[in-house]
Amino acid sequence: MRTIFTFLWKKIHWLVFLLLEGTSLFLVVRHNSYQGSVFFTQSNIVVSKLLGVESSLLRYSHMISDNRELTQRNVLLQQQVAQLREAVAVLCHDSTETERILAASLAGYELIPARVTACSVWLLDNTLTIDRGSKDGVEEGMGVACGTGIVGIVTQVSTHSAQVMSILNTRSNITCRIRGTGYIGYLHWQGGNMLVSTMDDVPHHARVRVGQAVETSGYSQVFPAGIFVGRINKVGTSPDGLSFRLSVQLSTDMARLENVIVIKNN
Amino acid sequence: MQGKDVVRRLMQLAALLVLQVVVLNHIHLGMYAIPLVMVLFVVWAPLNTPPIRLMIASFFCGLILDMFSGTTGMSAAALTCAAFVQRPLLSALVPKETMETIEPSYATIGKARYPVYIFVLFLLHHIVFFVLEDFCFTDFPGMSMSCLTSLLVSYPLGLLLDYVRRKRL
Repeated sequence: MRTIFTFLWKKIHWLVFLLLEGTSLFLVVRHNSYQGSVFFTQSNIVVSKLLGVESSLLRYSHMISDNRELTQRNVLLQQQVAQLREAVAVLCHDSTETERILAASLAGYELIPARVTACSVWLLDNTLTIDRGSKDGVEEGMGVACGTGIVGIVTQVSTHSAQVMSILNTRSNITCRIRGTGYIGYLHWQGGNMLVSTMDDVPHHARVRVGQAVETSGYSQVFPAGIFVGRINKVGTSPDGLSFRLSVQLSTDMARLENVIVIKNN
Repeated sequence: MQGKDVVRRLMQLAALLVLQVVVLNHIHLGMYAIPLVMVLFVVWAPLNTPPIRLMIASFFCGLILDMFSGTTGMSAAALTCAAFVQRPLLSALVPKETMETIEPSYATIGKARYPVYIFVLFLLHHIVFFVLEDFCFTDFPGMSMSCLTSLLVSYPLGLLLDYVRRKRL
């Protein structure tokens, strides 16, 4: 121990130099906007690469359950589609009309598949990182969704990765509507339960009940209309008493996200 | 360090600061070159100055200059680096028996070695400053251009200021 202290004392000028240089570099990065943004961007790239390696190692452990869930969902959806086609064919003389409407809702959107490399759910302002960036066509402001619902909006993009503001973020504000009624509200998260969000500004005269589905409205061009968001599990009144405040059980479990889709509006 | 030496060093610092902030910071030659002479504070440091004291003094001098120049941290880092290198550089240039109390000058270091001593400190200071200022490690030609053109202006100016200082002493 004494030898270590003697050695350190002999090299104290090195320690002082490193301390002063470290302080200067901290000041450069902290108080100069250009240097700070370059440092932040580069460090994001390094961190996202490391997180990508970590998630690759963990990915295979979830694959079996993911595949099982996807297969079940696929079968269910095929049955529902078959039933709907039959019902529409009965109601509509021209069945190709319905196919045209369905295709039109996704027309002008390109879907970019991506994997989640990092995701936070325990903060007030949660974000996630995906492994697609500007090289893959991802841009700021694009919507991100998954097989079960919406995930968030892209806020920062680098060449091979992007940061997404999660729907579990107090700054997130997504226009939604109540399926079947068309009444519009704003979905925003106020912290707490990560499976529940709040929908405000639904007019008092709207017919709202527990169990109704909430979907994206398509007004913002970020998400196409009709993407499932969740179901109403509680109906309340806003603090000013002028509109409904709905508690929405989200369809997306943000803690178990792995595969997402970035929606590019062409 | 005696009281009059401290006063002399403080006056050198004040003069260099005023010159740099009031005059030289407003000179941009060819949009690249900026004369930077603050490193003379390290060049003129007596040989018996403890390295740690010189580094700390240079750091705070750099911070003061940064406050006026809007380059937070850059001059502080560059001057600290120059102060760190000053003593080993002098050890390489000056015979050991003369190391203890001399003031760096042509007479004490040698007519050929003193300009080299000034040049190396200026070069190191400029490299650190412009690397931090540019902060873009892929644009090496642009960064080199800024560094070299500033050095081409600063070094002769530094020699001139050193000549003026010797005449006044």
